[in-house]
Amino acid sequence: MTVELTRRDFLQGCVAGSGALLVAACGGGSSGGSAATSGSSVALPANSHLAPPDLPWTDHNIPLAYLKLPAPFRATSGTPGAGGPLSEVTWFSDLFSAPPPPAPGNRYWADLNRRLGVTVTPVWAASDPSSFQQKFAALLASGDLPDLVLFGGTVGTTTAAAQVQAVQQGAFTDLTPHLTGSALDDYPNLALIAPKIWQNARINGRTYGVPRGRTVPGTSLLLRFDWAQKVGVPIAQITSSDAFREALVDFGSRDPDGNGRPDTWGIPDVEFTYSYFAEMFGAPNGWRLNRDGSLTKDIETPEYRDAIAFAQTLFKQGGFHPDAATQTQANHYSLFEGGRVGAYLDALYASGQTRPFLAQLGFKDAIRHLLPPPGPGRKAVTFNAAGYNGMVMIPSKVGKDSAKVRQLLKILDYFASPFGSEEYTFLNYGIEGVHFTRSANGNPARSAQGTTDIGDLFRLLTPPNVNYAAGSQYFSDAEQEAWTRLVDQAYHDHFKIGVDDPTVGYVSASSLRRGPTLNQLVVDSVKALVSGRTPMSGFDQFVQTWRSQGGDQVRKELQQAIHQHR
Amino acid sequence: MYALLLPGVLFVVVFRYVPLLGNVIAFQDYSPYLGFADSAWVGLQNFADLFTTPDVGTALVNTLVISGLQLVLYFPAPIALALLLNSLMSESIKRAVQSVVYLPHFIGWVIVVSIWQQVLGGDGLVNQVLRTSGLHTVNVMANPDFFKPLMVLQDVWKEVGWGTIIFLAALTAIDLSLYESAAIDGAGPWRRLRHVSLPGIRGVVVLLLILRLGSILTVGFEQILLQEPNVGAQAGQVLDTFVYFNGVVAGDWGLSAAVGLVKGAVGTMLVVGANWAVKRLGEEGVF
Repeated sequence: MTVELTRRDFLQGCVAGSGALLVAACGGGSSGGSAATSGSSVALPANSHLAPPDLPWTDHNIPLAYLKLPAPFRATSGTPGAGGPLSEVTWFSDLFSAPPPPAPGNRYWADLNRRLGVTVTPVWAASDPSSFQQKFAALLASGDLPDLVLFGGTVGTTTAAAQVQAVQQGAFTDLTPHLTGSALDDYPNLALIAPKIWQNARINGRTYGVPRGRTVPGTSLLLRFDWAQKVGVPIAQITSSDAFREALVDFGSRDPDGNGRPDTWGIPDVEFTYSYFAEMFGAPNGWRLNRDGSLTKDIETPEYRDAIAFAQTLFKQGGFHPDAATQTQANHYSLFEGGRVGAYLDALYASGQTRPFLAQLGFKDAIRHLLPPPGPGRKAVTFNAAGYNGMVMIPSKVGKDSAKVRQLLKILDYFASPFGSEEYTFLNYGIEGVHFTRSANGNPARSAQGTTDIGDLFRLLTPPNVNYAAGSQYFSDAEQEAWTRLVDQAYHDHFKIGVDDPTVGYVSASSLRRGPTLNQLVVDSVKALVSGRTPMSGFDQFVQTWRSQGGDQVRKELQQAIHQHR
Repeated sequence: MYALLLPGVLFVVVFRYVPLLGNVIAFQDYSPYLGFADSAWVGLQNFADLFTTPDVGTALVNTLVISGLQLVLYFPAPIALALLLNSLMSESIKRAVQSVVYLPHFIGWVIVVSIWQQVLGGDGLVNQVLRTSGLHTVNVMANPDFFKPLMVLQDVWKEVGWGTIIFLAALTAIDLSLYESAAIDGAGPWRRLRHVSLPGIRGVVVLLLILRLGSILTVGFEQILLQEPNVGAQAGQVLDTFVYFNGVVAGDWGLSAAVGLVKGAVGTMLVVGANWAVKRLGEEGVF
């Protein structure tokens, strides 16, 4: 297995390679790219540096697309941590693989220390939300928080409740004065993060952390183009919920893989896919903010109800995998890659993980992004994501000294160096010859040594995703270009009909306290309804339970929070 | 001489008694950031919430049902197996069987659950066979009605062999001459079982039963944590998983600590009560 294969890497956004530059003697100055490029109509701060994208860049919320490796450039100047009050920086973040061996034995780590001008010491916790929050609580209770602390997930999601609570009790520095307006100019790479992402990463109107950027366009359904062709419902014809259902049911009954056994299905699971049905019927993204400032929960809308009824019928007709109600998220992709199911929902930026699979299927026309086909009389939407996965905060104890805050933000700015920069190549690939080698067209590929030494050190903060496929060993040049254009188109199509969750970034006492339970109630009830365990007549009862078990209270408080902090 | 006791006593005090003081958070709106000292004191509010939070009720009922099933199905199983093993004449067969039935005890829950999923799941072995032969499929693993018996069956499958050890030890302690005299007096195998074997291990059975009652509100945390998502919280959540999700993950420490405290108190009362009851009935009891 090469580095490129792992889903994690795609999730973390190191989608691709970078500058064909030997660690050159850039005397602190920057060379190469500038934001003002011909293909770009997005206004960026004057001092930010970016490799000019190869496809027109028309919206800050859509990732930059590159067809070939851009010319390398420097995204930072000087040594970010040098001359600051801290000589050692500790941080708390999430771990996806084995911890890297310590410096000085680890040349990557030693070099990272040298480049940053401080000695870094991470404290890790496993990346799954439960382990992460558990470790966070222990650190918090010990009263000794590291200099930089990762906030797991997104503001308002149920998994981060304990961390939001800590923020509200004053455990972390309010970074609003440092990271808004012209103050942000001091951190040119952080300034590249889209304004919408910054806004979504606020907690009740204040900025407490630097978001680990992803993309605002949310999830997309990948559909087996070849299967659809084979069962006689080509993707081009899937423009309504009925055609969609027909295709999925046929995936189960018409043996699209041609092995003569009834071992294929349409949708792999309920929990990680049902948002797509809600999109098809134009339900709100979590909540709908009405004109009068009131909130309507998605489950209270007729659109949502129709979506569930649709899924229930689909389930009854055999459009779902039989374990759909019990599937784990990891299993959900392996079923798709294993050729057992014909559809798969994931973040758009993660669709790059299908490349090896695409190559195996013979790239051309094997998999397509399918925009939600609208239900009868409905207008389909897509749900925008918050656009980040975690943010890095500074504890108040450290933040009392604003020189420390500036030093730490400079270090984060280094981590946020954009794709194509010399810093990005170092952070993601290490030292050339030791940690990575270059292919004929200059794309870096990590060696085993690289994977071991780099580990998750660079993941404290990563820049927003770019759309780049040329680093792939699986595609020919023509294929990678076609794929990049396909994904770019999908980003545009999805974003065009994208709706935001109006409650992202807002929290209240009961949204924190009751949120996880209410969320669980929704997931459990949706599973029961879709799988037919609960008939549609039980839908109203479910909404009623949600309201009485705290949903109404959460609504009231969120309305207030939005009204107050907007 | 008593100095040798010191490390043991110290261990118990530091790791068992001192942490008990942490239960104070059951009376607080505890926040790890503010700590014990600064978290708001809410008195019995958490205990009041405990009775009004519907999830606690569901979790309690689920726990009690699973515990009850365990008492009926899982508790007698090792006794029966031990009696069966004890009646085997061939030492080598007995040892072989013992080794095999001990094995599952050493398999982690994650693996046990995967095995069950691979066999009984919707896409598991059984259903694959049913599907290829064109028959109806049954997904036992995702059916909330089967969830509780399923948990107990898994317990039996995993732990029954291990559980026999203590009963086998008790059985070997029975004087063989008792069996001989019974046989000479004309007692058949059933009567020897009823009048010699069972009375011989009665003390141990009662002892284990009392201890079992103490943990009546505790049912396999890991096992249920892994499988609860299959059927949802309504059918699957037990007190331990509630404490985990609500406290450790969601950060509502106060309420969760209150649940834990009540659990401990109920367990203690049951042990003391059962002990008193069996003593009244003329058994030895635990203390």
